[in-house]
Amino acid sequence: MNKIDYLKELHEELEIESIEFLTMDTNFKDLEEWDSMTAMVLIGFVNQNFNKNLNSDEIEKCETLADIINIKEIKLD
Amino acid sequence: MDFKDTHIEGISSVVPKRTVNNDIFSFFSSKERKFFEKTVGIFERRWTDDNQNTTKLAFAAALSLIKDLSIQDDLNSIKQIIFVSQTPDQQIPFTSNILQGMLQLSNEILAIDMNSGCSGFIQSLTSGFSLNSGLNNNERTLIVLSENLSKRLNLSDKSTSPLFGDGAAAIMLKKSNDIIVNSSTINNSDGLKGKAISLDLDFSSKLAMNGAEVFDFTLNEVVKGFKTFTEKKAINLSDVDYFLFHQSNNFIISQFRTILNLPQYKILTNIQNFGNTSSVSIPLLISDKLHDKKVNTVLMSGYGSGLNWGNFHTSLTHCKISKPRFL
Repeated sequence: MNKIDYLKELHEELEIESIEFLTMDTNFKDLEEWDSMTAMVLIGFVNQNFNKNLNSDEIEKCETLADIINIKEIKLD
Repeated sequence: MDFKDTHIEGISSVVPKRTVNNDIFSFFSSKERKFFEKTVGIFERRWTDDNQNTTKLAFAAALSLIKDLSIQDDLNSIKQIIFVSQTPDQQIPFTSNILQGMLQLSNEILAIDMNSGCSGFIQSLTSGFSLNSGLNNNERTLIVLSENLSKRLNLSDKSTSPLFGDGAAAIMLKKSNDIIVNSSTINNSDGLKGKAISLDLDFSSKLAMNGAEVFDFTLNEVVKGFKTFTEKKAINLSDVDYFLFHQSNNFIISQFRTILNLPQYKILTNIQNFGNTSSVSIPLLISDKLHDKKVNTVLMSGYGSGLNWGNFHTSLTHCKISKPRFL
């Protein structure tokens, strides 16, 4: 998966409507849509696409969508 | 643990008549409600009325089972009664004892209450099968599971209140020297993660859950537990008719399906109409979806408060499954 698909697919999966598109610098916990359900979908997204278990402590530590990539050492194309 | 000389003889269930859809949750915007229905997958649940309680649901389920099995004249064969709930109506006396009286079971009986959550069905089956090994031929253990969680929900808590439903189920285990059913189980426990799901003793306190932590746990420990179980017990997944996961959340169940590479048609769900009924969910699922089917092998997987999780592999070939009744 490349960077653009990562951002586009997360935008779709999390059904974000409050902003038009996500960037690597988007602080996802500030999004209007952010709650326990979107957290669950995000964990599921990372698990399905990158085969990595993102846990709740890691989400706590992350601020931006780039942080998630970094903390899980995911390589985007 | 492995068992041979006990089988599940019957499963019956009861849910309250009152259906509650997602309209009552005023914290949901219409978009959030749709997202909830799409991901978590709950459209409605059954909640008790003010004149109903855990004991009444439990009694109705147990009585239904006794009638469904036509054993009204053989109640003395029931040597043990196990009651499972995290929402009993009172602390003392304990409910299994009350049910023994209400059902007019013999006084010569072992009555036990279990405080178990969403893995309670697996825990009670393991306990029931184990206790059954000390019985004589054709003697029985009655398991009754009942939850009235709706009364212990904070209706403004978005992360718990839309998830749970009420209901009860009753299961009869029979010891038999003639019917050999191979069953196996592994139970797991991690008390250090106990705070992820909690409810204080005080009746005015409400259920609290750390959703993300619980979701972590399901993706990690529950998946690992399932794999370890099927490997250790050498279970061939293609021989299993149905995989019956605790009905916690549709998104979690579909994650299991993908990660464990299980065929969709072997996974049943009814969370759409009943929500998460804790320990009741697996027998309610069997009662709801399998009452009119011929079923052989099932692999049941429970997980939840404790944190606790476990798997149970058995056959329902000799089980009379009755559809849910409404109270």
